[in-house]
Amino acid sequence: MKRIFIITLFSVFLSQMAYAQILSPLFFNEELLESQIPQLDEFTKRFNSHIDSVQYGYDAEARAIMKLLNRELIWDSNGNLIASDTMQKNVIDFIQNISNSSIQLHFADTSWFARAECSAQYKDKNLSLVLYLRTRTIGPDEFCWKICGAEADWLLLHPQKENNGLILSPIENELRFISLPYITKKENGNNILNYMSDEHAIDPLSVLMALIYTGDLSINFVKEITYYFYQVPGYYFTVEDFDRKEANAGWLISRIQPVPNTELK
Amino acid sequence: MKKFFYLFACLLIMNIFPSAFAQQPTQSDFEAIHAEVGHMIERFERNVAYIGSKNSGETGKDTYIKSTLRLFIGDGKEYTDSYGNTWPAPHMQVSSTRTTTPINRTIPDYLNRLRGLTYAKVQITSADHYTLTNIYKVGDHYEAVATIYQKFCGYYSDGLRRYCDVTQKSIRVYIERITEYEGTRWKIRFGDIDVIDTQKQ
Repeated sequence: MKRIFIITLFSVFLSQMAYAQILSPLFFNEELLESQIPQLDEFTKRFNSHIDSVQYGYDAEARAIMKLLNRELIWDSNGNLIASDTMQKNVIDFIQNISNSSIQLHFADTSWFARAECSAQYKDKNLSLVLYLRTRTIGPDEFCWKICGAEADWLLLHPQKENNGLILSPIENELRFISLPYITKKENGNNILNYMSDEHAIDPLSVLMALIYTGDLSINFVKEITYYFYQVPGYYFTVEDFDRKEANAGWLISRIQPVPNTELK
Repeated sequence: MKKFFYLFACLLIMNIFPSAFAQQPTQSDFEAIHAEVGHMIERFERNVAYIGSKNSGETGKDTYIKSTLRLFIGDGKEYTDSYGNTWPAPHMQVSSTRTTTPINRTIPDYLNRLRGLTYAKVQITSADHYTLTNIYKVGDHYEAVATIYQKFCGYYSDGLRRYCDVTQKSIRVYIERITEYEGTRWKIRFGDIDVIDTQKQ
């Protein structure tokens, strides 16, 4: 029964999204702009407003959350339902969980983060890099973003060559480690991992910081941002920017994924 | 006795310089800030339309460029914050579906390019609707982001062909509490602008 209700809601929702901007080139469709979500802050406000809809019943609350879903989660461009049974079930559960636990999103929450795909400049090369950023409270009503992770294959410092010859000989100590200057020469630097203890895994964020600190690396620009939210019990969801000329545009929920409770911890 | 003297001195200083001890803005402060940001956006949009228009005189454009730069922190130039950190001039980052790398321009450069457009006729309009984020405390001041929409149409001399686009501009807004003899007011300045330019018409 609930599934029929949700599908009916989807239909109403889709029909609202269907109209496009057909006006003179110099005028704006203000109604259309008001329905779009150009800022994550606005997404959060609208998400939290589902609480205000409770007084009008579950339908109103579900509708408030539905408007935050990217339509492509459910429908194709022709308005045909594409969501699998599993996806439909996930969406229904997701909305119910939000409703049951009166979830609200706050900037200071520790259970969300941003994933920023960046273009970086390493010496004369353009490379891709992913940064993870979290919000932190730094004073009463004072927050900031902090970089908390980095991801890129090249940050793992894979050696250019790996073979049994690339080791520090057991007698090096007797020579006061005479080979250290050679293995750390600029032209040999890309094999340095061969000489490192296995007990210490490479931490890409530390590598990144060192490269930035020495002036060898800088970030050119951010290509894409995805926000990950873990506030809804049993699920995580992502929010991405959908730039298109329709009501269902801007920062919208792009993925709803069940998460076992153990993973959430 | 000395303790009381210091306490009295501190209270006196707090009274004379209340802005040094940042108080949280009240609801009426937020309303005043929203209204002021709205006025600033209107002024910015009006100035941009004037600078881009072929009907505007060159002297007028000079005046409007100067007036627009005054809307920005550091008057659109490199500036030093109250902690002594130097920051580059506010800039505009333009992303487009046609290019993979965003284009970065300082605000004076953007305004000068706007002034020098070679179209026979230029029309720039703005949507009434704009969005302002929550206002966040950042060190000794507050910041927010205002998102506005602008349409640009440049017509070629044959009057038939035209280039039009729609941009979504997200503007960093610096909000500073100024305490004067008459009372407290909010000084608003714009900073960097992130422009998404995808909707060709």
